Amino acid sequence: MIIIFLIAILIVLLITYAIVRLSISCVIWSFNMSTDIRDIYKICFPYYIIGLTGIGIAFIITSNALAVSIYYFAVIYLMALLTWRKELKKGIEKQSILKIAVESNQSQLP
Amino acid sequence: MFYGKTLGLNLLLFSITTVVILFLSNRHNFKNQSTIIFTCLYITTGLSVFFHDSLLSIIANLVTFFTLIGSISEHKSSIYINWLNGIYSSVAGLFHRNYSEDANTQKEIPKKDIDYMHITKIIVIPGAIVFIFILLYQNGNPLFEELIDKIDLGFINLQWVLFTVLGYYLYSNIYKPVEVEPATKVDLKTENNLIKSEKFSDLILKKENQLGITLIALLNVLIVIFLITDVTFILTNLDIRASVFSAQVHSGINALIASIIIAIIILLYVFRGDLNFYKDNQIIKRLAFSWILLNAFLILSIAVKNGQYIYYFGLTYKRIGVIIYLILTLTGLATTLIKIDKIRNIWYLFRLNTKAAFIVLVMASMVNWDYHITNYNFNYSQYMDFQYLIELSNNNTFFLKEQIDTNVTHPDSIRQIEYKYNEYVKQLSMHSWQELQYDNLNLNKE
Repeated sequence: MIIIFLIAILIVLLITYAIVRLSISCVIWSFNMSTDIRDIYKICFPYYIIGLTGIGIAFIITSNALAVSIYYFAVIYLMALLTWRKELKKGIEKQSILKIAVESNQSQLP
Repeated sequence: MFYGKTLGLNLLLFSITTVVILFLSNRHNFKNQSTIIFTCLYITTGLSVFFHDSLLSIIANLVTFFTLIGSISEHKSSIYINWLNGIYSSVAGLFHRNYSEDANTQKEIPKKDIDYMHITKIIVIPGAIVFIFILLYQNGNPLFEELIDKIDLGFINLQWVLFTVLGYYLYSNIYKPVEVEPATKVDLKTENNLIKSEKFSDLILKKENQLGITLIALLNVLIVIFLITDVTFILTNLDIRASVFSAQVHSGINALIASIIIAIIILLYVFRGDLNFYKDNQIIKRLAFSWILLNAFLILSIAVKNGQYIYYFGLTYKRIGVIIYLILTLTGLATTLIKIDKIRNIWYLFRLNTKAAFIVLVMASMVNWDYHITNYNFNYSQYMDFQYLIELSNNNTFFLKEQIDTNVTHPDSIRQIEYKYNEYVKQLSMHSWQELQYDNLNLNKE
């Protein structure tokens, strides 16, 4: 019984992660490929996280502050923050690799 | 302080703690006049929650909290940007400070970053293995089993832990407020003055001016005729039948308020651009000013009707709402007049009016409406809906109790008041120190 319950929680978490990941990817995909991730972060992250928190609080209020809904929203919130962090880190690393590649191929540059 | 408690003294203490934390970490910001004003307003709304625990004062406390945080992040920005910055700081201030600074300085996130995965491994893996071994040793030694059985972890309340962590997280978010960069930059760049466009053409403006004069002149004539009939109606029907008066007020006030808002929109459209710089715009400006003035008279007539309605049928939240709506509309008309006179843009109007709405909200939150509604309806109104008064919040309970000996005679009404009073006293006596309200002190005096 406990195992089934744990598997169910795992499935719910995986689906939630997929939705959060997809929503952040959609935000990033809505910009050009050449747009710096830092610019996307500056423009979109505040509104994304405010919107997500708003939806979460509405969800908690409508469920009469049920403990499960509070835990679930806390997990979604953390997932979103960690995913944004990962994207930001990945983007900055990619940018620095590109910069090194350009500089090493153009040795005539001062 | 808040876990499992209702709001009372705890919100005031939270407000004071927030101000202290903000002051300690952002001392230089507290030299700004606007920040000092917002701090005072924030504490005042905390006090009003303590004095009369109404929903309006809780909302006002929340709004002033965001305004204060936003004002510390950037004190020169508009109030709605303060709200945005305040909400953003409260939601993700810590994250923003940790990760966007690396992004802004175009630095790579250092490899020496805290390895959370490793920390998790250090905690989880040994913890799980130790747990398994405890289970194994438990079966091997009765003394050890007894020792393990004595360990009681029942005092750990997961919800309390989560609540405390959330509180700590909120303070870490707000102790150094951050800003939504693009929105704040755009707001700081946007000035209040209108600028003459490059497409300025006398010919086009002449036609626009003629159209505006015709439109506003006709609207002026119409409003004058309406006002004459309205004043005649008010003066000749001082004692109208209830049903007529009710219908007149309900349908009339809504239509008139809508007409004033449309009037502001028309004026904003006419004076949206280069017409403000057209040399022969004196006539249209004067017509606009007179129309604004006549609209203000219209507001006065609505206020008189609403006042009469309140006098005959008592004070209610809806009727107070109409008064607040009229105050805001009057502010809107005044700011439109200034906008046209000083040639300001629509952002000026938006900034000033949101500030006015904020002030009205804070001021309204300081009033114990339930007490004043009950007091007015008992002592001044011609008619009183007792059921409406009994269904109001507990803020009027003590006043209702005082009326038993003087104004309330019906046994059923006395029974309802006694029931409400006893329930409220029971509720107050169960309050812990965190939930204390001003009524607790009143009760102790009695």
